[in-house]
Amino acid sequence: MMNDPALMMGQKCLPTYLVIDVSGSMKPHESALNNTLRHLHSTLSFSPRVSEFAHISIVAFSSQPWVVLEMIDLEYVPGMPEVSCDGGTNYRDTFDLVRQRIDVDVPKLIAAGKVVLRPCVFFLTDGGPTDRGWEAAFARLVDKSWKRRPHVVTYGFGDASEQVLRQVATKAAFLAEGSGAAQDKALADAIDSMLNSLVSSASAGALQIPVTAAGYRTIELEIMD
Amino acid sequence: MTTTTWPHGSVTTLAALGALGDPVSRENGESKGIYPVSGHGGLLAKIYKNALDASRTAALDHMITIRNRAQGADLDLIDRSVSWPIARVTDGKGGTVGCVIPEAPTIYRGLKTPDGRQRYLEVDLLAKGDGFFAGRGLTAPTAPQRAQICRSIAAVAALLERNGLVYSDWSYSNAFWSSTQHTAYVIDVDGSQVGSKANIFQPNWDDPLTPTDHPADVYTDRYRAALLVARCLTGRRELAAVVHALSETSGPTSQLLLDVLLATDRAARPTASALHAATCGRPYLAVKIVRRAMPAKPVPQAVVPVIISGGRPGGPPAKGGKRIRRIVIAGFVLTMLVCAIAVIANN
Repeated sequence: MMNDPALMMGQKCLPTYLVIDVSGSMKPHESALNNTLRHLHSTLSFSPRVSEFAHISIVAFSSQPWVVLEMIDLEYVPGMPEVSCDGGTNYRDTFDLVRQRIDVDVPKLIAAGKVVLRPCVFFLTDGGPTDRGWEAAFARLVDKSWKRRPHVVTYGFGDASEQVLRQVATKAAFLAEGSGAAQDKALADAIDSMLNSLVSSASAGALQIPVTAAGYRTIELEIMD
Repeated sequence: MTTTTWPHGSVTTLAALGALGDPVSRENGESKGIYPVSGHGGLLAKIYKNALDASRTAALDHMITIRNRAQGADLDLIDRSVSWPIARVTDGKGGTVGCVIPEAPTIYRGLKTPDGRQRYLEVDLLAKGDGFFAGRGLTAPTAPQRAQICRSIAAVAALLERNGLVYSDWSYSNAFWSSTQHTAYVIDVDGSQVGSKANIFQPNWDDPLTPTDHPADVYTDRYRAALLVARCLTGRRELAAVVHALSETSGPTSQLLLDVLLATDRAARPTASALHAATCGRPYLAVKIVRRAMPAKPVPQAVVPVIISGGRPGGPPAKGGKRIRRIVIAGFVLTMLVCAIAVIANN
């Protein structure tokens, strides 16, 4: 068996983008947000079977988006940087940045010998967009003619709009139950839901999206992949 | 914990278990949740998402009977190294909705994560090199300690095979290891069946000689158990890296593992009992196995230090950003040094 497929097959990899709202309205929850990022890191860096499957990149957005962490197996990251919350909620440039990053990250993963699955974006927000033209940017991100288009799962809390969460989700959308002080828990619950999804996905070798998320109400989507 | 300390017999009802505690696990594989059983410390109730059919119910009863009849070394092994089902749980109307299983002993909790939580040590960590441990402030197991843990895994594999049971679910997450006693504890065996069962797909655990539409059987289990032992023994994960690491070490265990992993005939794979004997340094009946060619030796890939910005554009770097960049680079260099030292020491 000179070319045994099992021995030749590379490691499956799910490029995972955590896109987090760090606008001014998130300021009261800044500490909780950084704690949940540390929790994400501590869980994945001690779970090689999950981190080698789900490579993570973190994109933060407020008035502008930026890459907090480039796509990596979290095992190789000793700790999470902290983010600060300030500014507006720019969806348009965020979706454009995520699309740019996918076009950079996916070829790199393929070149590293990975069998790359369709990327997944976990989008966390506490409010609606403050910019115009974001709908077109989102349409570009999930354009069916773009072979690298990602799946998108949204988690909303605080003043997040159910309608907007539904619009920017392709796989699932969740709206937090409760308000005020419960928003810190909503953040933690969103990350836990994402982690559960990644753990299940790693076991299955394919993206597994939860049907429900603790602390959240599932929003029925108009369009499902 | 033995069956003599479970007073409710081999079949019990969900109602008889009383109020279940907060789940220790939710929505995992076939289980809806795994809950502590009130008043019975160290026991868990695994509740399935769907009631078992007649065939699965019979298989579960068979496993419980095996435990009830086990004596001596087998009973000791079951109690010490496997979360073996103690009782079947029904809904009171005859439908099987779960089982009662022992909780893994606390010696298998050895991991305190940076956020202060205690976690079980999955063999997932054992299938990593010394650099992984060094980078996390953990003590890497020595080669003899790895061998002792693998002996424990092989003992369970041999026990299952001796009883005609097919487990199929050997994986990184279904066994724990103790950093103090250097033993292993296998979980999720309640789905084992006699002869064959549905082939549980797990990425990177595929048996290359078992078609994907073929049920899992004793030969699949021999492969997967050997792969788990080999990964834990070598600290490597990619199959090509594992077999090359084995080929570079001497001894019957390495050779037997290579026989299992590279055999061209799945039915010719050495038994789990032979694997266990080899790990114990005991003689076993060795049969000449025709092996496939070794795969190409993988070239180690350097991890490029990740660029972390942290800070928003136009502003100061986020707290931890630049410092983390230096730590990542230092960590990369340290990891390479530790790996180099390990390679030199093993040669």
